Amino acid sequence: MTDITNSVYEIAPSNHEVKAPIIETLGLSKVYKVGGEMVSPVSDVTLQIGYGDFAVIFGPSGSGKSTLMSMLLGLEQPDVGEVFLKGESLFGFTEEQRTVIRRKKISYLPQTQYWIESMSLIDNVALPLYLLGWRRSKARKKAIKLLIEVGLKKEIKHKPNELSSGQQQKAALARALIKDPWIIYADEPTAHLDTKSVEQVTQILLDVSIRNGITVIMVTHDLSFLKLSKKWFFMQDGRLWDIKDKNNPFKNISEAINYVKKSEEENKA
Amino acid sequence: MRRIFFIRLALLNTFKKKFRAILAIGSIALTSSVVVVLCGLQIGLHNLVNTEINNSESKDIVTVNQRNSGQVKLDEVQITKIQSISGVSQVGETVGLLGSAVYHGIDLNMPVYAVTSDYFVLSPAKFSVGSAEGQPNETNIIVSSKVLNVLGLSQDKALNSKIQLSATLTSDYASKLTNQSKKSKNKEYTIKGVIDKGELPVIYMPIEQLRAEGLDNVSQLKIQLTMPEKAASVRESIEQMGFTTSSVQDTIDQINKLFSVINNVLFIFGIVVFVITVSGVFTIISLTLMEETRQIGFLRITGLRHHDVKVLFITQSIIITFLGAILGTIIGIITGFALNGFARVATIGESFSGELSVFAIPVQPVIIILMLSVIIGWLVGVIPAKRAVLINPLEELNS
Repeated sequence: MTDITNSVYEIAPSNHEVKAPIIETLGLSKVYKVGGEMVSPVSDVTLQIGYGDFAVIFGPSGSGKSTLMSMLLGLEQPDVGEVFLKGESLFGFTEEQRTVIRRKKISYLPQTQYWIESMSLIDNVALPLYLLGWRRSKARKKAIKLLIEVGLKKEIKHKPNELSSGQQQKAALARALIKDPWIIYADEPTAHLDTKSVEQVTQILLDVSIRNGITVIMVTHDLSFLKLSKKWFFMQDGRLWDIKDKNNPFKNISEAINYVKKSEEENKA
Repeated sequence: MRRIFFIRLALLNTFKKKFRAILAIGSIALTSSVVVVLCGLQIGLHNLVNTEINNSESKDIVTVNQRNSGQVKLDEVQITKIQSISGVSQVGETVGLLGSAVYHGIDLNMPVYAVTSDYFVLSPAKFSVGSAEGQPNETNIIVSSKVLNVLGLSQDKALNSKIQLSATLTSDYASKLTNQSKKSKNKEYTIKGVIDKGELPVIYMPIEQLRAEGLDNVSQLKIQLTMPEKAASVRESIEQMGFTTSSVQDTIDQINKLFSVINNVLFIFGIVVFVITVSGVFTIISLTLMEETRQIGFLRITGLRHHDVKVLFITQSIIITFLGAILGTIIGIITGFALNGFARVATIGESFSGELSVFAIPVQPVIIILMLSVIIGWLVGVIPAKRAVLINPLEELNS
């Protein structure tokens, strides 16, 4: 197995000429035993996402999006299938190596933010760099720069929990960007935001994806993201379809959207 | 740098719930301070007793007494036999009698010890005035400070003052006496030293005059040995002759027995403290785990290894136990020194060898407490740390 700190991982994504996908899955499946029954939240999932893509995986709640995300992050081992990161089998690495890959080059943007309350906003944003062993002053400098970039110049000296939901999500975006990741996994990042904040956060995500060639993989059931992305996947009952796939269960995108809307309404009810 | 971050994060997590952290550290500090004070008192008192015993009489001195029956007397023949025992280098004689002292018309009855001139060499005393050298002898006597009080003499004027003294001889010590008792001739003696015997008025006079008046046996002998190792064989020989023996070593042995009992009590107390500490810290760390699952989930996704999560929890646990132990040690030592202060104030005027210290810093127990605190911290942190590793990061973060 290649040493993750060398070889392929030294190549900067922006300079990458090869059109091979940055992340790829092959027949990914996960099976749990619930009670006496076998349940498969992810079943035979195959996808390919290229360098700098802004990919959206949408589907109703309980369709298996989070389990898929967990496997893409290298947190949960699939029962069948494989995840390839830059052509290397992710689960061919040890648990510790996968952790180091996440620490160095993978970011995760959750739905609701987690902050270490007793730390300042700058320290919270700089945290991924502390885990990488950066000196505190250097890490804080970069955190301040990113906080200004995401529009939180006035709030720099605040505690994270003193910020509004929209500001917190922007700060979380700064934290996700601080280690110059290859991929940002975003899990419903605009779920609890007002319309203005949704637009701002979405714009920042799109900008960094285009400007820095960062791959963004977003899991959402917010259909407004569909118009921003050229790479759509639809997930239903553990199965994933590329929206362009002729075998997908819907005749067109409208049918898929209506299905998700209907499912969400049923869930709310 | 990462280690510094872990320590910082562990400290922040520990003191996130300040009241709980203070309660945990405080309870460990309290129990460790009690252990430090008890161990310090044990060592201090042991040292104090040993010092006082060693200063009062040397370990190579054996005291010989007649048995209560008085069948075998400590007369010249027996004393000569005792002197000839291998390992005996010097023998001092003592007999306690009722005495009568006259000073400027004041007539007082008080205990008198008729002793040989080497008595204070074999049984040292603390002199407040004068010295023991060659005393008492033919014309000189040593008195206790209480005698001066009774006679209305101040210590600075006591030296070289003259006292008329006589002692009452009884048939117990003067076998040739036809009557039950006889008062010795009144003779003038010069005070050559004053010793502190608390409230006891006592005079040490030379034995020679009383011998001339019929004293032929004594109540007690002080025997100096050529070396302390000879004590057992010499004592056995003397006891076979029909006498009782004692030595300062007996007292030391008894004190050692007493302190070994105290040590055992301390050991049991230590185990109880250990169990309380372990369960207390374990509860706190487990509570922290239950509250910090989102943090662990987030850090795991961000790149914290299983090993790092364990280190974080164990560090938190060690911080609590180690800080508690350090604080407890400081409180214990301060309390111990305060007790020394109280003891010194309470014993002003009492005679002690050197500065009185009932508490001594228990260096060895303190080192053990500090080391044990780290071990307990580690042990208590391991199980919650193992549990922390097993959580599903994504599930916990989004919970």
